Amino acid sequence: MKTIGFILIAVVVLLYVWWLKYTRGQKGVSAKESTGIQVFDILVKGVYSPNVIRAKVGRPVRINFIRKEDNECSRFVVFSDFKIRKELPEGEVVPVEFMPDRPGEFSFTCDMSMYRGKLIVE
Amino acid sequence: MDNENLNDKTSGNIKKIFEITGMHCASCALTIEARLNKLPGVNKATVNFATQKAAVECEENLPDEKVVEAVKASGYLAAPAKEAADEDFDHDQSVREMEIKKERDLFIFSLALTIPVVILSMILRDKSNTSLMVQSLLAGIVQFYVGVRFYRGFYYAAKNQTANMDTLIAIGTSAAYLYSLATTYLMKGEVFYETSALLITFVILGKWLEAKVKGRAGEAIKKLLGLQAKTARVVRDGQEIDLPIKEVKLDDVVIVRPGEKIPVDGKVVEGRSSVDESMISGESLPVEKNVGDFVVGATLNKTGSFRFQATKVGKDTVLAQIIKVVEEAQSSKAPIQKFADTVSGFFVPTVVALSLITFIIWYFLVLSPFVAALLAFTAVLVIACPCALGLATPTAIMVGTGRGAQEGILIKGGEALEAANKIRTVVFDKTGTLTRGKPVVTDLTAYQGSKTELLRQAASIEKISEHPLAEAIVNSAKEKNLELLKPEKFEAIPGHGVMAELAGKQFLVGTEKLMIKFDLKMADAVKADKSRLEAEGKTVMIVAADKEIVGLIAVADTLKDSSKEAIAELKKMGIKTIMITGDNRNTAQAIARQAGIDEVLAEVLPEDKAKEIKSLQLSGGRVAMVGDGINDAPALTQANLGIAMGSGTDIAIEAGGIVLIKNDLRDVIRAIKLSRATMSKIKQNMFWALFYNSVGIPIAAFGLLRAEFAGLAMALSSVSVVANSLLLKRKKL
Repeated sequence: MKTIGFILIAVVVLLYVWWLKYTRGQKGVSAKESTGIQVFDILVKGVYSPNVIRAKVGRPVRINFIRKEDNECSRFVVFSDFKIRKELPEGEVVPVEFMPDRPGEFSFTCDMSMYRGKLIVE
Repeated sequence: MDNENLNDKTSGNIKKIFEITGMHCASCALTIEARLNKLPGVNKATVNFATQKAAVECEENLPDEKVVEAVKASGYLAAPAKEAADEDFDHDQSVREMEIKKERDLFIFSLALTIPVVILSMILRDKSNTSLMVQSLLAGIVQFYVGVRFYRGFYYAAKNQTANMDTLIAIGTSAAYLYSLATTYLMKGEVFYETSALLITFVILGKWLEAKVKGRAGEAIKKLLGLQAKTARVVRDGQEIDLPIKEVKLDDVVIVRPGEKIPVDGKVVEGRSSVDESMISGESLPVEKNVGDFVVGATLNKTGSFRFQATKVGKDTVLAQIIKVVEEAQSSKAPIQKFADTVSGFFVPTVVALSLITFIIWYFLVLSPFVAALLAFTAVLVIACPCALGLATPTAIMVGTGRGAQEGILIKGGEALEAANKIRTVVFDKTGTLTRGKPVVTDLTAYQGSKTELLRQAASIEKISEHPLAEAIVNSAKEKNLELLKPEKFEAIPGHGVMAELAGKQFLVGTEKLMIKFDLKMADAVKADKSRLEAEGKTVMIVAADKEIVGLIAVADTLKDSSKEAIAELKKMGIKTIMITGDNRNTAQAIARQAGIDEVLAEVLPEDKAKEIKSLQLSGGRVAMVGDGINDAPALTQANLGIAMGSGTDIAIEAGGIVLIKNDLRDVIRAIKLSRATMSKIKQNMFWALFYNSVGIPIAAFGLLRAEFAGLAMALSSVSVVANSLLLKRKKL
């Protein structure tokens, strides 16, 4: 019985470590249009989908959010590094536009940081 | 929605906006566009995929339904758009209220089903088959009807290979419910329907309370938007028409009647009135407006009618800029939040792992019964609350900056808050910040005749002069309602003063140099008076009539009423005060003494102010600079915290981390107090959230807490964080 217990704990720990590696290694979705504005579509339903996006530095980014749920939590999306907080009315496409002027990883979240996405600028 | 307001009637045609739903790519937009352009009566249609809107220029009598039908025929849905921001906001408000009501109803429904379960299982302890079946049914409705949102959230998260709060609750409650279901119908064992039912009820209660209090946290923007006028009466092609304020263009002439709100910013071109500007400047008395004066949008016209030319419209108006600052501030996070964000990124998977390990340890290593292990597992899942962590800073910043905005204190974000919290020294610009920035007559000394006569004579002569000191004298005479005479043979002697003939006498008004130039001797008594006044930091002008000195007029820039009180209060808070000015040392010292300032930096050239701030920073830590935002921009930027003072209508929003809309120095203290209060709320919240989770999870893992109470604790922990932030609204500043 004890052996099984230890084996199971090891499995859980391994899975956890694997998950950590997996999220680190996420490549992210690239922009739809590469000329001019970099466009992304993100569906807000339980999570941001896709939740990792990849953009090029120095070119404007437009992220079209469409929130298809009435969950109060996801009403706002916040890009704190770019000082943007936008309301996402249910069912409407809300474009968020800004200029990623420096490379790096920037998170975007709901007000409470429960919905989380990552913008990788390179 | 009043569609009439959206119509642009300038070209005989009108422009209508429709919201389109169902488009999923740019080619959809083209399809709709082509279809609409073929529609009879339509001149031009453009469809924007990004905004999901169609702009249709058409004949006035084309009914909306035709357009809607045409869009429908191409496979999409359309509806006339709602435009104005405030109406969106009203709409939004009702949506929010509906959401809150929905949560409440769901909670009551869930509670109504849960109470019988609790009575049967915990009070009557009825373990008969009928009782178990009734419990399984009631708890089942709670589990799968009330709790369907958790499964939905779980599903979408899983589809995207991630996990969220819903994952935790869905797994936790399912484990409890499904096990009970199994023991009721399939195998032997304990049942605990009350656990899953109570848990879900508590979580819904938390959601309801949270929706309620969160709505209150974001009220500031709503209030600001509410200040705006909805329409403007504009003169176009000689006709007066009502337009939504969005359509007012630069240089439009706008008509304002008594009792109406001024729609945009502009300059009065006709008529006069008094305007209540308290919502913008905090000035409680109405301000007189004459031709040439500036008026600000959102302020209230009181008595007269007037016309003004729009000088700032749309996003450039003072109110729009205030709203923008508040919005930006509310989106910012204090640097301290970075840590919380990192933690919550790992939170859910970590908790899932911990709960599994808890179960394994209880069941396989401690060899306790399956039920006990399962309940500990559930408790760990549901007690963990990353929400509290995520809410800690944003709610405090939202309430804090919102509270500030209502009091005319614009805090630009988390960094300004954190800086204000650590300030040890406050540097004040002198002119226009500590003082009124306008010289006034402070002393009249008459050696012949009355003081009034002296003032009348000087003012009559200076009326023609354009010197700022002359203006002070003329204003003083005007205030006393003195009738001025007409001088003859007026001559200005640059750098010295003026010379003129008045009522047959030869007058001189000016400096000592002027007197020497005309060979006038100053008696010792006059000299003594003059030096005394100069020692007080005043500029003294000598008045002579027919080669004899008849009096002295002292002019000085005076302290604002609020300055002394503000400085004293800062000292009480243990903050050092410094004044910086280009004035000579005498004048500077005199003002500093009056104000009670600790230290004076006099004779500083404007371009050197930033340097002085820098050397203060090197020697004494964090420095705040208070200036008027227009001339002091470099110094405001150099300081750890720049506080820009506006003077009502003329707000330099760009400068400084904090902008004070009112011209009241006591707001510096209020700003610092508010920042300190907000920061301490953030710290309290962060501490509470971290403490809660780091203590709550082990308690649950050790099996010391029933799962349903773990759920209640979770629900209340995020509510308590929001409620704590809301206390900022009541804070006395």
